[in-house]
Amino acid sequence: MTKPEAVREALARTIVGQTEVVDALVMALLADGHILLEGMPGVAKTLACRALAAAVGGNFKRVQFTPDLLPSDIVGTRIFDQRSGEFVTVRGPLFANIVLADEINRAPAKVQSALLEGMQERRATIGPDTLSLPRPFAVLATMNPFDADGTYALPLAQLDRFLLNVRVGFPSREDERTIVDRFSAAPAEPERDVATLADVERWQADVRAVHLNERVRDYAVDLVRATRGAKYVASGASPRAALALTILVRARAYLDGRSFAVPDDVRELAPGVLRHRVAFDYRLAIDGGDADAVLAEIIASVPAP
Amino acid sequence: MRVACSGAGWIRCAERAARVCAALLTFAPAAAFAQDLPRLHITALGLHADKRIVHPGESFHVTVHVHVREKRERLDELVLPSLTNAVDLGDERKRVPAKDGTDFYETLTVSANTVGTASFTPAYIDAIDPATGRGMRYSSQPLTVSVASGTTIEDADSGALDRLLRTAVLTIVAVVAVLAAGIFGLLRLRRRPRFVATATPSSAPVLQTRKARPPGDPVREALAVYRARGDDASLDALRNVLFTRAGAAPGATFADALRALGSRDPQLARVMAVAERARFGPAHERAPAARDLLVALDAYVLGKPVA
Repeated sequence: MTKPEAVREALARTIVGQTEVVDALVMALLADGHILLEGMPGVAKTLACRALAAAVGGNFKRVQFTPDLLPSDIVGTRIFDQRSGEFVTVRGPLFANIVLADEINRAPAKVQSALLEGMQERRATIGPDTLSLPRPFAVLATMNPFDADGTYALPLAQLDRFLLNVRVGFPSREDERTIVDRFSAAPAEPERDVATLADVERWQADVRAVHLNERVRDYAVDLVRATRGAKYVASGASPRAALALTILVRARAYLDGRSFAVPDDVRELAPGVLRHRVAFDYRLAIDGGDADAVLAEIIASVPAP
Repeated sequence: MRVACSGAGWIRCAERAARVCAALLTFAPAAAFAQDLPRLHITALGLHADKRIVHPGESFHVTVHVHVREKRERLDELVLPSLTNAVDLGDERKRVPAKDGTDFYETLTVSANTVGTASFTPAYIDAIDPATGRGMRYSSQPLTVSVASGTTIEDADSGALDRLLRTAVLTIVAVVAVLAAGIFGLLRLRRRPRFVATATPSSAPVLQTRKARPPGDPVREALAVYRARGDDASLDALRNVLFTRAGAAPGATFADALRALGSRDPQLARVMAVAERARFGPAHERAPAARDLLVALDAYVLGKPVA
């Protein structure tokens, strides 16, 4: 019986370094959620998503978001079939197990909304037909936070749909040398079919059965609540953040082979869950502060059980 | 063969000889040891203090030295002495490769409690003697350190000298009395390690090196409360004591405590892991986890291996 650890190991063999990204991808898959990867171009964001899709053997579609993209390019459309004389539904790339939305902030709000509606409702409407998306279903979106010209920033309400927001940093010198040695001759080839979609669905069911002690649950809730009214915070995280945190906490415990979550799971995952759900006010920019540092202070201010 | 002697003079050498003779008298051929005891040529096992006379509260060092002929990376089988009238402040392990084997030095930093004597039980190792294939307990000599109330070390020294002289006379008498019987014992034993003090075979291998926690130790006290109550509050208090022992600040998590602990005390790390399961595990796992925790803590406070 395949375990999620096998997927993690397969990803780790393809993605050099970036352990946090690999873990986040697998946890988001286990938690049946979507993930937003932020980082500079060339840090293996797209490769990581492709590797995950290849490892679980699902249907994988990639959409490069551009300013001229239309909602129908993602969801699908209806076309007139001249042979049958009827309109037929053509499903878009959203109908895949794993959808890579590359540079999601380069498409206008209407396109983003079409995608995000699918993420939330797990179904899409094409003309008169409302169709369910396949299961498992995960959207892995990437975003470059620095090259902001010609981009459409995602509103907070839409960012909230992502279970996790992971910052993908530059690899260490040693990792970078390994990347050069390993991939300069041939492009990275992800490992395929390490697990099946049935395995993924079973894991997702198992994750929901992971025990969450009431004190661990309270710790997660307290952390989310601590973001509201904190210094430099204009808008704190919503209850959806607490839900996201607790399901991810279970996923982390399951990935580590535990049948119960511990406070460490909550604290380790809190930055990724809260980062994109907290809006900081202008004083942070005036004071030259760092949002992640403020978030770390908020998290540290809540004692663990 | 090395003889561990700290250079404190012929008195202690005579004491040691007396103890070895006494041990030989009580020695009986060992029964079959547990199969998984290590095979070790132990050629020296000594216990030394860097001070013979200390004041209450003054810290000093007690070193256990072991020489084995094998090239070994670790010597987990060494059981450290238990302390009486002294508090363990920490310990440091050092391995020195030698031409003829490996030397291990375990240095305990201790502090004397009250005036009188701080004593240390022998350090020992259960192992199979490769020469005979039999399980043996190799033991060091016990150690005592005078704890003086004098305001200066010189005051304490003069009183201690008298006591040492009295001890010397008694030791000589004891040596003569047991010498004949010792020779008889030696004739019966064709080839035995020199540092055998007792030959009680151990049914299980000794895996860990720890000292028993003295009465009043916070872990002992928290364990007693948890054993009596068995509720979440007492378990929380126990976890906090363990985390504090590891060096973590209040409100820390298990990972914080592990980071603070480093590699200093793997036994404590195991106990903390069991406590984590007992505290946060699902209902059907909590009862067995609580039992595991009590077993682990009992072993921990007694200086025994934690499974």
